[in-house]
Amino acid sequence: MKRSNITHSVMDKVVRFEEQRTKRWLAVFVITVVVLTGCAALFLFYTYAVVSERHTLDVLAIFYEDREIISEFWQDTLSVAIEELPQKPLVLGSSALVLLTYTWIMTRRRRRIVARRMAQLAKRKKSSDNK
Amino acid sequence: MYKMSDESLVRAVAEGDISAFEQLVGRYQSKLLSFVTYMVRDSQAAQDIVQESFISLYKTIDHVDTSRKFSSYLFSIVRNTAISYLRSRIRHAPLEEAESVASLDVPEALVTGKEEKERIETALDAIDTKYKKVISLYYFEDLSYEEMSRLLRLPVNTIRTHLRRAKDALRTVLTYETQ
Repeated sequence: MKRSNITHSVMDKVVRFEEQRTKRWLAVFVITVVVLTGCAALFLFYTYAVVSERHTLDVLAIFYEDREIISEFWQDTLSVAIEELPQKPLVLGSSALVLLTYTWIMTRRRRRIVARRMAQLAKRKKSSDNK
Repeated sequence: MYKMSDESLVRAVAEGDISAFEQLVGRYQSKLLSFVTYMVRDSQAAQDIVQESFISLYKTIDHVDTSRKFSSYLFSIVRNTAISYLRSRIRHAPLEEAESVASLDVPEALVTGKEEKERIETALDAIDTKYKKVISLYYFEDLSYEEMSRLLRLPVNTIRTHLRRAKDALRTVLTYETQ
């Protein structure tokens, strides 16, 4: 395709704009994913540590030894589980996990587009370097 | 080689294909430059306006309605950018220049041959501004009645009437000049 001056200068500006936009988007995306993953890991690990320390799972295991106990005393089983589990970190960790999954699903299309743009930007950069 | 439609190119750009935008720029730049050059009567400013319009198109390409004709949308962006430029020039220009700038808002005749071009330009200048617009858009930018109707925000029947009157007026002027 013939590239006149205006095409060249427009494409230069478009490439500059796209580089900045892609960098900005990637930075926001990576920070979001890292923060959410960190929060989820931290809070869920803390929950697990507390559960291990309190031997909550052993308490729950007593109920599981006989299924009839659960069907008969399911309210008690539930209240024991709720009381024994550290609620605040569990809720925070689960929320972070849900948000992470939501972010990952919602950015599927955008990630595909950004990857394509990055590949094209790299190709352009390479060809301009070769000139 | 298979030529993609404008709308397909727009969709491709929105999907991350930067080279599709280059094709769009290549396809429309000369038409837009002619259109704007006639509006602002300054080729350097016209280049800046067209460039700015293309950049602004790229930034908002995700929101372009591909079910409607792309060329009309692009011309309306360029027209609005050119009008903004003219307004800013009027604000910053001395009064005499501002008056002359304010009267210019007609696209350039895309004709070959300098003499013929000048003759048609002179004839176009002699007819009413609203008729000049429809003549230029219809004959030089190849827009349909419906596209002009959307661009100029006028009913299709009004466009049809304007075009008929414009042709009559242009014919009269050209005939008069020839005699």
